[in-house]
Amino acid sequence: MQKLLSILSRISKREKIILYAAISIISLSILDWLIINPVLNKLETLNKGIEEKEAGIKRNLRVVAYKDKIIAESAKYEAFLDNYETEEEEVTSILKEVERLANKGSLYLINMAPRRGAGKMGESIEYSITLTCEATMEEIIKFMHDIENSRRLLTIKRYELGPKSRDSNKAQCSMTVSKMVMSK
Amino acid sequence: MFGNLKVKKARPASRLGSRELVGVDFCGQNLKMVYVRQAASRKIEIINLIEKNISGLSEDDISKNIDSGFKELRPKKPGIIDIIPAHFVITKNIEVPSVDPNEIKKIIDLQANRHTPYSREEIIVDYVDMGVLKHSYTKILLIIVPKKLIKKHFEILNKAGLRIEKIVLPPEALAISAPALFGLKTEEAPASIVHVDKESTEFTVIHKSKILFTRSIPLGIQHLVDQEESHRARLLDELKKSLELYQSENVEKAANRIFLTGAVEASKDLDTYLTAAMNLPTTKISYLGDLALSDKAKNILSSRKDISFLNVIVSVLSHNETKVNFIPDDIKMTRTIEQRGKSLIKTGILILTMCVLIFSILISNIYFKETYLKRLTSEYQTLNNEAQKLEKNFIKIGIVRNYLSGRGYSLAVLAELYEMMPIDSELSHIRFDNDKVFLGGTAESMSTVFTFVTNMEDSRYFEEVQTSHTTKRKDGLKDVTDFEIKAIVTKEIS
Repeated sequence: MQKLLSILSRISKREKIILYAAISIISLSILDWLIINPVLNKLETLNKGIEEKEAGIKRNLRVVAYKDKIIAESAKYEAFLDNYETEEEEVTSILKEVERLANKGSLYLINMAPRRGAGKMGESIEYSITLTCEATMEEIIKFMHDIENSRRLLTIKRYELGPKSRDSNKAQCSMTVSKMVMSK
Repeated sequence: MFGNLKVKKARPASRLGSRELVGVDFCGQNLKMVYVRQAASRKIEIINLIEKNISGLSEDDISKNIDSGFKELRPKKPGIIDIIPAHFVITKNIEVPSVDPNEIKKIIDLQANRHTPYSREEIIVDYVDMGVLKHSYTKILLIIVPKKLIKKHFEILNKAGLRIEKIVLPPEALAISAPALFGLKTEEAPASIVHVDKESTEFTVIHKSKILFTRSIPLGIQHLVDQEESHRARLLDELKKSLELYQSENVEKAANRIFLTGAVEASKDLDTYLTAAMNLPTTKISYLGDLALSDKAKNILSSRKDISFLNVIVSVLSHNETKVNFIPDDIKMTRTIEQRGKSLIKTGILILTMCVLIFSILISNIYFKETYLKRLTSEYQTLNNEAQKLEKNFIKIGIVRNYLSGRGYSLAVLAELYEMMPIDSELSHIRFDNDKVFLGGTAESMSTVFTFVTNMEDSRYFEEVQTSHTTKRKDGLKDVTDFEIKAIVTKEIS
């Protein structure tokens, strides 16, 4: 220590100021790099975390406040929310339902096939089948009406309608029927 | 020179808030120690005094006596004030051709050996500034002391384990303390103080709390009591000589009265004798003045009336104000460096403490926030799960509701087309492709097609209705128009 003090006493005032300033700057930089910055970053992260958590809790409390309403609504739409385990089961169920409706309306199904690849849309998945049928216009309209009002959430996405032949009273229709199911 | 000093009781010299001081005088036949406590309110109390006969003792024995005396006093980390009495120093009133203290210091450094038989290396020089003369001269009282003596003092006190804070010249301390201690008014005229001790007497002239002149007379109360008449005559003679010397140095006007103090109680009518003999009013005053004394100190003082503690008391009382300090320059420098080192360490510790404090606050902050976050997570986990489930259900409901609202649209489009189709036209094919519709058919006239298009444009179900083509042809005897129309299906219907 005495050696250091004697060295310090030998250097000029200007040199001392420069030395002290340099030591202060280097010390502060090291301090900032090793301690201040990490600590402040950690604090900032924690503050952000707490803020998000609190906001989340407030939002959750709001959601829970509507619990009864949501449960009631859920019950209302419960019937539409049945779904099967696999894609095959789901498609089979659609084909069965469509066939049942066609038979019910005396519609002549020429062909019916599942469309490949289910369309994912956020929380829901859409399965589709295509079919071609022949019947009178009234029967086709009734069939379409039955599909659109099915308890199984079926809907007609596409159709093409035209007379079977020039002098026939029957129409031919090809359509794409989809069913929406909620993803698990 | 005094480099290897072992010190066990050290104390920085700067503080005088509430502190203890011990004055040591071992220059004569008696060791005198005084233990003074100065409270933060600046009230001074003499706690204890010690007097021991050290006549004929070796340096080691003197050290041991000081050590035992110190232990007897039992102070707590006091400052040690050593004194060098006037009979060990050479004083000289001189005029220096400068008013700058640094220059004065340099001049006396150069000129000091002229006033002493010692070489410059063998002496320690200091001075008391007595005022400016003719604007460019300064009157000073030059004080010279042999370095050897100071070295001896350091060695003795060092052996006793004491660290000297300051070495004071008692007459200077007396000049500073006298106005307060004795109630002397020295602002207008100088006053002579005759301080009688056991072995010697000091004649000091003071003015405006400054020492103007001092001379030691080797006659003490022990002489005055013994063979009273002859010694009194000698003392009178010496005092007259001292006054003459003072006047010959032409420092200030002559003192108009004498104050007799110290161990004078043993010689009963000395003041009366001096008044008559010197033709100057002489007043006897107690050297203790109004000082607060402990019972122990009172007992010692009352039992030792043949000894004066004045030198050691005033040196301790006014050590802060005295200018003369016989501590050699190399020790002063070492102490300054030590002091700076200590300050540096203190600053370092302070900064470190502050850093530790700040980071403790930050770390505790982090800890509390982490704990709070964990608590929020754990306490509201159930709520979170329930809310997530409800939210999922709500989203599902929304999707289903939305899906249901879009159902039947294919039929609605068909019904709308049926409603708006002109009677004299027929459709050969209809293609509905989610948000587009393509129609093909035959109409009796071109205007019928345009009417149909206009109707579709007006419908809330269609927009951007376009005729892809219209072709006229003969159907038997009739002219008919084949057409194709495409349109975009509007989904958002209120």
